Amino acid sequence: MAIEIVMPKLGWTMEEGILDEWIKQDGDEVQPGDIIFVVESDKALQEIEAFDGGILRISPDAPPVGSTVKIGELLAYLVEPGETPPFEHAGTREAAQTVPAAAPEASEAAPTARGKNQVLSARDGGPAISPRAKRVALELGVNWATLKGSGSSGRIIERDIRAAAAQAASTAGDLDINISPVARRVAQEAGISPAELATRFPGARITRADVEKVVTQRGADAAPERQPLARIRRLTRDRMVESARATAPVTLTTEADASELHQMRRNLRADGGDIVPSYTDLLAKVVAAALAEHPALNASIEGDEILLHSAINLCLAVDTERGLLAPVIRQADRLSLLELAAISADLVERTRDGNIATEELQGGTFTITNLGMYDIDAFSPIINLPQCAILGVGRIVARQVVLDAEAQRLAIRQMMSLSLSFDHRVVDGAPAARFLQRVKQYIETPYLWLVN
Amino acid sequence: MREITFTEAAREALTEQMALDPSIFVVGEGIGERGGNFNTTLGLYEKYGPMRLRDTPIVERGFVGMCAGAAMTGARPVVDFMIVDFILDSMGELLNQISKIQYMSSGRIKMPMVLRGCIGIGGAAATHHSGSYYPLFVHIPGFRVALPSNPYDAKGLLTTALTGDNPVLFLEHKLLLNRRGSVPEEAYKLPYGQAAVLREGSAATVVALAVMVPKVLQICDELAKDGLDIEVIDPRTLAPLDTTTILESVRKTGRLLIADETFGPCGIGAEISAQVMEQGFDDLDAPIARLNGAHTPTPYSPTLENAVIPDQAAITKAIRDLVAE
Amino acid sequence: MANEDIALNSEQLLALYHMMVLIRRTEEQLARAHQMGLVPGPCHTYVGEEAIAAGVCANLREDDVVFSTHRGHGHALAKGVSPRAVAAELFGKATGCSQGRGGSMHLFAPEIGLMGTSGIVGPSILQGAGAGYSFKLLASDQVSVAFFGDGAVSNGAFHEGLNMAAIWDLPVIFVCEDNMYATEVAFRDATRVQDVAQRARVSYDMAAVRVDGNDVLAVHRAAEEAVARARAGGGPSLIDCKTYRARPHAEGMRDGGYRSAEEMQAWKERDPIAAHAAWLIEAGHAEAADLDAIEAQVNSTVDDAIEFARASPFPDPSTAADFIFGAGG
Repeated sequence: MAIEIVMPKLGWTMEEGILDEWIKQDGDEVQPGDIIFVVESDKALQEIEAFDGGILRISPDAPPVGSTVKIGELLAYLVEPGETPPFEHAGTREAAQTVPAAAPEASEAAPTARGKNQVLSARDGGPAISPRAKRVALELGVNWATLKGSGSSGRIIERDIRAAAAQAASTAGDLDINISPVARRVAQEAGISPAELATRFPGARITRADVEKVVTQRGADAAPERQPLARIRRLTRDRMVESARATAPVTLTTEADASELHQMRRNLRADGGDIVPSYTDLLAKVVAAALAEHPALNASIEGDEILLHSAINLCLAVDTERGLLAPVIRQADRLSLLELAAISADLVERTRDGNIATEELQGGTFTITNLGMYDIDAFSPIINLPQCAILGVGRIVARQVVLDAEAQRLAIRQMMSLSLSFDHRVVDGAPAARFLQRVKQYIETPYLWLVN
Repeated sequence: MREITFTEAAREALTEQMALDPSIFVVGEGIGERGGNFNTTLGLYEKYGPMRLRDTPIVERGFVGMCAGAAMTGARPVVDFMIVDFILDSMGELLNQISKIQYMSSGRIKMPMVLRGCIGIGGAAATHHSGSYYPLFVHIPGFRVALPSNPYDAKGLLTTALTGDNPVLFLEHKLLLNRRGSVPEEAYKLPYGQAAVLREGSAATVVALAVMVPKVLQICDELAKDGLDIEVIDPRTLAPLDTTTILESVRKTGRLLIADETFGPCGIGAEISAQVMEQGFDDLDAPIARLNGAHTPTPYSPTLENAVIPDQAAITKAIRDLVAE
Repeated sequence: MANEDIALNSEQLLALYHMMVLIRRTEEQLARAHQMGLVPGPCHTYVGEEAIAAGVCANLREDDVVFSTHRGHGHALAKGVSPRAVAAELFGKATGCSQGRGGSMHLFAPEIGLMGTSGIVGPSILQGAGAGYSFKLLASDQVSVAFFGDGAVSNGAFHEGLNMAAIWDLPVIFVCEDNMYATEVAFRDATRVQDVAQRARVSYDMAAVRVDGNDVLAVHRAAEEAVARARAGGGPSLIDCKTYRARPHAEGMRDGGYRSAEEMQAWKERDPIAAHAAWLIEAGHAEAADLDAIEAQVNSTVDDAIEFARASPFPDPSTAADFIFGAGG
């Protein structure tokens, strides 16, 4: 049983729509959910999906592409394979109206030109087109599927093709392009010239997908916005370049089981205190404790000398609108967790608000940068000169891990990635690794540092 | 150049060639002393006598068959049918013998014969004196068919016919006989199978035959005032038919009308149409159109006679419809 | 036998015998070949009528012309076409006298005056007249012969052709081979005047004789007179030859009972070759051994012709449309 496809009602006020383009053509197989055609209503294009599957059959008498069609008006049928669409049934109402019952009245005896051709559409249901027009369309790359014939028969003829080509050329800088109307509209909206499309897709029929490709690529290739470098940016630029130029960075990564830390933070929050330390705070506390035991990482280089700092001043990398800033928590190793958390919260807030003093951004001996909130695992942080090391903190994520290989014990643990970049000029790999290992231990067994 | 009539031009060709070639003789009814019903042989009997200007009994089959034997044995007969409807009595000799003997003899026997007569509707001649019939002969291998539309072509095509080895139907439309045109005084031949582009244009091609040529040309002059630029082709010979020129024109214009006074079914327009579709389909910007006289015997009464031929209005409409298609 | 005033010498008389035997043997072999499927198309044999072609054509020069009928093998052979060329044409071979474009009904050898045999009854009369017109127009002393059967006599071409030849005094010999049947239609049922010579005399004021078509000497004499008249500008003649075909209208065609066994037997006893052979011996022009020698020679010639036809190549299919047109126009 043929299923009617009609002009859909796409909004409360819609009364009619323009049949903009057949995405499926007469005879095409249609699956439920396939886009069959495009309707323009209220200046918007809407792709219409099929509710049903079948073979699309567009009657030669169906509204032509580009015409305005009332809601509910028949556009096509979906039929079973092999099923004859109603418009091909002999003796349908339409046929009965157009086929004269008797021989034509015109006397054969009258001198006549060839009987007037009433065919308005081609056998395939598309618009009728003269062979010559078809040939010229191919030569000029004109898509004639949506053209209307200007001749008395409605057949698309050569001049229609040439006119379409000329129109395309006038907008395309003398280029003939074969572009679907939807694609043309999308291109216009995106400000993409037909000339550019013709260059990108020579000879091919340009579809909306093609135009969207260009739109995307244009975004990637877009000329950058030019902004004068703000002071912070200039500083960052200079420091990063200097770091890259001057240091011999090595990045070590490891994974720590942060389940205890995770539980600890939960408990602290559950405890309902005013200040709940963040993971960064916890990490700062861990790092400070580890640095106290591994002073080689709390060092800087100055000419031919290495400066081992007695104070452990931790920089926390903070993302702000003005750029990356790293306020300093001074003598972090001497602060209780809650003190550290309080200082850190204050610093971060003021840094973000732009209320941070320059001196609060200076004097750091080690930096922690946490990208865990962005689901980053391992990365390679750039050393914040003149410091000699920086710890990158990745996200905490629940993973299945082997607790005891022999006993084949598995468990789901809160795992954290750690990335330590250090300046090999200042410190060797083993001490750096031992430091990182210690950090890992402190994360995994927080009481080790709590008892200190 | 002097202007003479179509009849004078054709007669000049015959006169020139009879002087050059003593094997040429003319048979027909009243072509001797009388000089032919249409003055085709006027003045020749006095020069050449009855053996070369042979008045015959009214036995078309007989004298056509006889002329076949003459042509096979060294003579060059010109059969003057006067009215070409009379040719029908000789169809067996024409189609079974004259068109086939060169072939059957593998080219060892020649068949140099001119079969001439007046064709066409006009002058209330009624249906036994108004036929054209050329599609019948174009259908048969072995005939040349000349259909001149003007004095110049008439002389050149007849001269060619009188000097070749083939049976040639040389058909003269009654309404063209008194048309005047420039004709060189010296003898000249026109090749067969070479159409004439009588008017260049780009909006459509009209292939016009015989009397339709001057009619169409006149109408196209009128249409040109409206900016319609029609190309007009006169094939001049139908066998062989110069499809190359027609195809080239259609390549330019994309539109084709074949205007032919005689019947449409299986006619020249059908043949041209088929050939253009076979060889020039992708050049067509509109269906090929045909304009033919009515498919009916030709009536006598002028009002009826006028009703069966494409008149000026019909031709104009056919061209306009074609361009608007 | 009309032997009182024979002007032919023994050699000429034996030549007539030789020609008749040649026609007979060729026809018999072609009929056999047709049965064997070697002749792809129709085959109308001349068996029983040999005296007419032999008697008429013995009077013709090579540049005289003959227009023949569907039953034309005998005319072709008598006009000088070789048995090889005839047999090869019937076999559809490139070496045939029409190069494979004609077959049994369209034998052409214009270079020796065989202007064609025809599948249509009547045109030979008109074309024969036309050749006469041509010769008269061109002031040549050539003559033209039109062979036709009794079936053509009631056709308009007979009247039109004889009439034109008569009124214009054309050098034409019309030879009617009245074998009593137009295919199956008996001549007695097709006309009130079976005396064709009488028609020619009465209707067209033409010199005409009626002869025994199975008497080669009678035919020869009538033709001799007619040819002489034509060459001398005396106009056309008609020879009405009464004869009988010994085989069916065409090979493989049943006779259908329209001819009685008695009739066929009676005509068999009047076989022209046997009659001429008997006369040659009786009149002392030949011994039986001479005739046997001729027969042997003919057999050899015909066997060679059949073998030649069999061995010849078929025409090149790419030449199927050659020769439709000659030069000019």
